[in-house]
Amino acid sequence: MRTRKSELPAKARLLQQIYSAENFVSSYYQAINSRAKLETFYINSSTRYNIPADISINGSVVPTPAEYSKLLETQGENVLYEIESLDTHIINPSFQYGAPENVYDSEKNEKSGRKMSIVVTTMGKVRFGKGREAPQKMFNETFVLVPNWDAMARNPARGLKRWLIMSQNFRAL
Amino acid sequence: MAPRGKATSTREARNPLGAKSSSRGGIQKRRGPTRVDTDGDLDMDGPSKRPSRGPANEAAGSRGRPSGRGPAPSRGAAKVAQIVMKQLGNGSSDLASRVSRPTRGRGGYTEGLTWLRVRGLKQSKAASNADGGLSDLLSFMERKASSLQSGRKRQVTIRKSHKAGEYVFVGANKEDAEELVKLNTFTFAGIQLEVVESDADFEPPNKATESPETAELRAKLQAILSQRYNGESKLLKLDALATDAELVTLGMFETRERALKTFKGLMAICDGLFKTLQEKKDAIESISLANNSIDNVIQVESVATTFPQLKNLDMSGNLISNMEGLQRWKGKFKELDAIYMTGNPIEGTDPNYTATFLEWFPKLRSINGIELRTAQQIAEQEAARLPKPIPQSGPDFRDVNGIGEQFLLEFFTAYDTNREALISRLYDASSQFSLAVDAQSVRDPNGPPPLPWGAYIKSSRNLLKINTHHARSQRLFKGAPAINDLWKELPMTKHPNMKDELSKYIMDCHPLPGLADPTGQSQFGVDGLILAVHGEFEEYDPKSGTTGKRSFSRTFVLAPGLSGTAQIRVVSDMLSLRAYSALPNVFVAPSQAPADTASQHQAMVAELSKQTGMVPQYSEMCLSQVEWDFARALVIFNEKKAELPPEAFVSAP
Repeated sequence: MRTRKSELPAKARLLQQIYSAENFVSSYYQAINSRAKLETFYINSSTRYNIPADISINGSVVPTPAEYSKLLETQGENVLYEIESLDTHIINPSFQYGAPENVYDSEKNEKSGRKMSIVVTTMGKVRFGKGREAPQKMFNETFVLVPNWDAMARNPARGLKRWLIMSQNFRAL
Repeated sequence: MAPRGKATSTREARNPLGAKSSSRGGIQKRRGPTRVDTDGDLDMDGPSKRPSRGPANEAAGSRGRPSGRGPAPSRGAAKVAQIVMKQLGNGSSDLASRVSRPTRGRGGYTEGLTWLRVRGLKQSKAASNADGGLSDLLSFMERKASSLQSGRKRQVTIRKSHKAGEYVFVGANKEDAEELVKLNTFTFAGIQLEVVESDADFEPPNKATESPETAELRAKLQAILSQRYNGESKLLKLDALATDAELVTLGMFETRERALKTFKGLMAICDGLFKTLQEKKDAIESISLANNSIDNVIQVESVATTFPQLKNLDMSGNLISNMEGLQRWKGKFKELDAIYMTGNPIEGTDPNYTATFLEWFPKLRSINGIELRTAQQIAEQEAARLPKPIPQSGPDFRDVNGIGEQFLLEFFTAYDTNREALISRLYDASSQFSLAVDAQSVRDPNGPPPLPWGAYIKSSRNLLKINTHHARSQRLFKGAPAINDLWKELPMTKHPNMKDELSKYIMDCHPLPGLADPTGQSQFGVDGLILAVHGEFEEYDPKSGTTGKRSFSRTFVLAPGLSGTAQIRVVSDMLSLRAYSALPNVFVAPSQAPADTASQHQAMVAELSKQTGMVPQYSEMCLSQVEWDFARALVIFNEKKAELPPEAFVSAP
């Protein structure tokens, strides 16, 4: 039993990590498909991070989430992203970039897996147009997600995402 | 109801059995007065509605109707009806055979049925079954609807059903119909069903049981339709219906309400004559609704639903006075090419309706005979509406000290030839590896059949498919020994040589801050690289003896190596696998480039001539030698300036 106890944080982290990845991808692609604003998904929306997210789409660096939204819009109507595979690894279990002191000191946050950075990869299809005959293309996308420190504050603003994109790489295949 | 004196024969004919047997010869044999009920309405409801109208019919019958009211039945009309069927139905629509087709009546209980319209049987795999799949469809619907109910389960029963063209109409009591309609969008024999409540007023008649009077009227309307149809020009002239002598004689346009019903009835008959949308499209390209006193297209909405592929529509001489009167046509008539609106008040009140029409009807070319856009313009507008993928660029390779490039050049060769050495060199106790299989990927239909997934599927950690915590943690391979054990089991691979066959890869690389520093020296972590590589490999699986190609994407997170070991270490290695499909070649210029490039080159030639004094031909030669690198062109110019002949310059330097 004692050995199990020491494994607990690892299990909690894995659960938290996979849960986060699943939640993130489902709400992110839903936002893409519904042409919702994307800013809140990126570290650009947090004052804790003094760097912008690194967004690379089909080999071109896109400076801001708003620019990415514009690029998505140029694709036209009825473009649908559907993912078919998902995987995630922890990059840094004790991520500290931009972390406020109180969060950094909290051992609980580290154990429960709220302080880590994770890499998420997805693979799926982009459907161009409605119906079964619509052309479709494969894509592969990689995200690095980091904690949204603002969401860990005592009374966080409503609707804050718990994880933010620090790095993104999309390729149509 | 029949006029007095003919009651006996009518009663005979009403007998369902009699109806059936007498229908063998087709409707043209039927004799009897046209049946109109109390208010003169055309009874196209079929028997299902009759009980509720029973008393009214009785009253009409007892009051009697002058026998001269309805036109006498004639063989002539019946012949025309045959012609209608031939013309409108392309000869393939045999009404007589439909009439004699037995229905699936259950217990003869037809009172108060709610009718549903079901579409999809014809397209389903069951259509090739003995009865066209009807009984399969019905038992599927009964079974599904019964099992869908929550709580107390009740057997849902379909009382009546009949096929009509694309549709199957099913009748059930109200309670069951409510359950059945929930089956809308359910999949039956490979096709998504459409189940909607049928228009109660014009439930397409159950021909096997419809009364002879209804059949007679149907034949009359068909005759009228056939007179108004021109097969050569594929035109159906439904203009000035209210002045049509026959329709007037039938009392079909006595009141506004009745006129609307008649029109719907005509459309229902038209619809019933065609088995497929294509047949309908081939037979009728143009419809005239001119001079019908229409003030809102709601009144003729069934034209839009019955003939969605109509090419020409004449609405001239009606009473449309504003956009509201046209609103119901929005989103309809996707194929409409020409429309005539002359003589409607809207021409004076809101002449801008034409702009709205061009918006609503994507293929509309002309209004009132004036071409407002060409077919080519329409094609261009359509092309502009098509979705366009985000353009591809070459690698976004923001490397640091060539580390990423070096890593890729050695990684795939080592993975193919000596995985163990690769692991001992670049992977450590905290390195992670996992693979995810996407077995549903898009692939080239002309490509080879996809390889089986057996060798990978048991270690696939596709989190969309693998749901148990146990499997999710077991399939994450952490630490060099665990990764090595797995890689020994995975099939042998051969990746294309990256130097020789660069276009078989796409790779992006960016710096990534905030990685764990195992030495603990840097509190905020160290900088590393994240790489995403896409490509293909050949595979040999000795267990199954199969060879072939797969496509992959692989994401690496690289961190600085610990002191004393290699320069870098792999923090995370995620392999995504899919069936083979060639990558787009991102190393060639995008397709829209040529025009841009040409004008760019011209500008460069002009600029170089300006700065060097060379004639354009020499500027161009110089630039093309250095692959249009302007800075290098200047360098070369300065190096070779002395050797250039005088004619290279506009004037002597």
